[in-house]
Amino acid sequence: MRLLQFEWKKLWTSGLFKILLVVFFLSIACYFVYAYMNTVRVSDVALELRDQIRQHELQMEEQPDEEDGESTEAAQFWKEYNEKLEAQLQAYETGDWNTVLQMEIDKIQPDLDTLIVSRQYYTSSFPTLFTTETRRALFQYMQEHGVTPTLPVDIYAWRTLYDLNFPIDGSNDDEFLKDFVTEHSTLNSSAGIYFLKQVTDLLFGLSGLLFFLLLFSDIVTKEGIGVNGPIHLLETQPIRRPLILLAKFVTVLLTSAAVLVGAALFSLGLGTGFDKLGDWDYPVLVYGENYAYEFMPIGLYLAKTAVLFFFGLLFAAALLFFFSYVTKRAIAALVLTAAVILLGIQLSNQVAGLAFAPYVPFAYLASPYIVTMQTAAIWQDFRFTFPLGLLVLGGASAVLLAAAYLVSGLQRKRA
Amino acid sequence: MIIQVENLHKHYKKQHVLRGINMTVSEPQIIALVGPNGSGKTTLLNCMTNLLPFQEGKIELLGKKNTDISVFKDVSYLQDNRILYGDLTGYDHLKFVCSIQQLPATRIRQVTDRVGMTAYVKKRVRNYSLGMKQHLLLAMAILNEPKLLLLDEPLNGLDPSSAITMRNILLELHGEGTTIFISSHNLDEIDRLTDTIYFMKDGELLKESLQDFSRSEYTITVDAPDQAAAVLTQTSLPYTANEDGQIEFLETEAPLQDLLDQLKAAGLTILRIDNRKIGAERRYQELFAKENVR
Repeated sequence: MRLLQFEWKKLWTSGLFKILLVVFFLSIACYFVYAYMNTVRVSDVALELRDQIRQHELQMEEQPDEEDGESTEAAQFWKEYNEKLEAQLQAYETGDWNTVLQMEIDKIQPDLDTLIVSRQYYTSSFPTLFTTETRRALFQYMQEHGVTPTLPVDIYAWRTLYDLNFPIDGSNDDEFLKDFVTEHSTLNSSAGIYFLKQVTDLLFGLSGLLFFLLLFSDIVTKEGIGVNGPIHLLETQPIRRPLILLAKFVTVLLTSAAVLVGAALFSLGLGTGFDKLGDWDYPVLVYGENYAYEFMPIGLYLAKTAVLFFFGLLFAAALLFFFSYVTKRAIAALVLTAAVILLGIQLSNQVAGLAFAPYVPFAYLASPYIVTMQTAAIWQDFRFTFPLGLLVLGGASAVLLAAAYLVSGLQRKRA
Repeated sequence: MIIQVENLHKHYKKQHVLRGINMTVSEPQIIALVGPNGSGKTTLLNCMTNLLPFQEGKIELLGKKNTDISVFKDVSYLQDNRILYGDLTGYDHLKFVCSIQQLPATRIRQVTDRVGMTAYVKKRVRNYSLGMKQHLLLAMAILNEPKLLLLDEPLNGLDPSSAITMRNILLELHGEGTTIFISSHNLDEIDRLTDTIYFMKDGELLKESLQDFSRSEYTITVDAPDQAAAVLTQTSLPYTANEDGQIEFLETEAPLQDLLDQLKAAGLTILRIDNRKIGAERRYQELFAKENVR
């Protein structure tokens, strides 16, 4: 405990650590401003609906006053259409989300019926059957759980990884459509919980790992491990040497956890303070085998991605410790760790599909892809699961730490 | 036994750095370790404190193997200032040592007052001068009132008044029963601290007690230098004639009286006798003259 306090004190007084923390939280705040400005609100949708209604009214007014069958039919059509839009507008304005979602489901149903009959999962049209089916299921889930949807809820706002082609004429990709869908399916929400998901989707990957490595570079690499450095202060006190290494490792992990919790509270605080908290039940799509799927509540999703990312951090920290002992140089250890992680991720992509692929730890460093089973769906290998990720990352970390300890022992013998 | 080193050998790859070091210290005293750069002084201290492994030999401090971490309850090692953390204050360092050694926090004030660093103990170490860092290292080393204090170049970077403070503290500690093993290049300070010196040369240890020597060298001026030289040539007395015609005589090998008797018997008049004490520096020059001392 005394060692942990000392390690923590060293970390907290480090200038680099403080600067990086400030940059980190400032980045979250800037991202929140971006999300806040790009959040589609009820007022935006209402404005759009009113605009549409007004346009239809104008169209009706421009119709000649002839009472032939065609004109009457057109007028009737626009009248009914506007009635629907007005009902939709009212539902939005009164927060009647059940009606809003039901209207969207009703719109989906005819397309879905056609696609289901043909079982065209491999269709090259946008949206695919899988996307349409999951979109309807998403809305039904929200209806059942009383969840407020993130706006907009239109056809372009929901895409899945099976939407690979976006042809209008049935042949090649239509770049405009592709860009349009890509842009509109990137939903932004400044509601606390949803914004937290946006932050974690960005953070829980390579960029987050590299950030945390840099954050803790002082505690691990500046000690002069294996050479004449501050570590000698610890080694000439009545402390067992494995405890010195363990204390550093535990400090890295505990502080990482504290920073993650801090970032989560900060994101939630910003969202709740400037917008609203959101729904812990908000559905997150989880891919299954043979186009199966299920929804996971966003609260559980956040917890699982955080735990898996934490194991990724454990693995990255173990790599950094290992290279610190091997190279005995601060910058070299840091660069080597980052390089190995980058190469490892490349390697895990190269070996995808092979029998041992799910046992490569680098495949689990992007935790949102694992928890939503996107990695499994992309490689069509459903052995890439959350529990296996924990096991592989935990096991690899233990092996690396043991190797670091062995290397330090060998170095002492050779010294 | 306070220090027991037996047949210690240490290799760095093909380089044989320590060649069969033997050392025994059984009573509290101040022992100096002197030798040129690269002679193996820091390596010996690092081996003694288990910071470095060695290939052959045995080391015991205060009757315990040096690999026993409980040794550091009663043994302190003042090392190079690179062990300090620049972002932490002196107080942080002292507090950590206090907590690890399970000492009351009141010890910190006692020690900082003694070392004279109370005024700046709460400043960050990165803002310390070299001398201030040495003070902090000393304060950390004496917090636990060690029975054995090992010091590697503690006088480096100290201004004269700091060096005097350091020397006085070491002498006080010695007076309180602490054994002090100090490696230093500052031979004047070593002279003021102790008569017991281990000279290190090419990884070997040569223990000398300057008390064992007649500590005087004489320069004798006579009225007829040429005649004096002629008289002394016929004796076996060790003398040299310097450029000014004076006779230089080291009393360790024969009594001064013998030389004076010879000169008087030859009818020479002795005009002046100058006495110079032999110190660590002189002995160092003798031992390392040809290779290192210019």
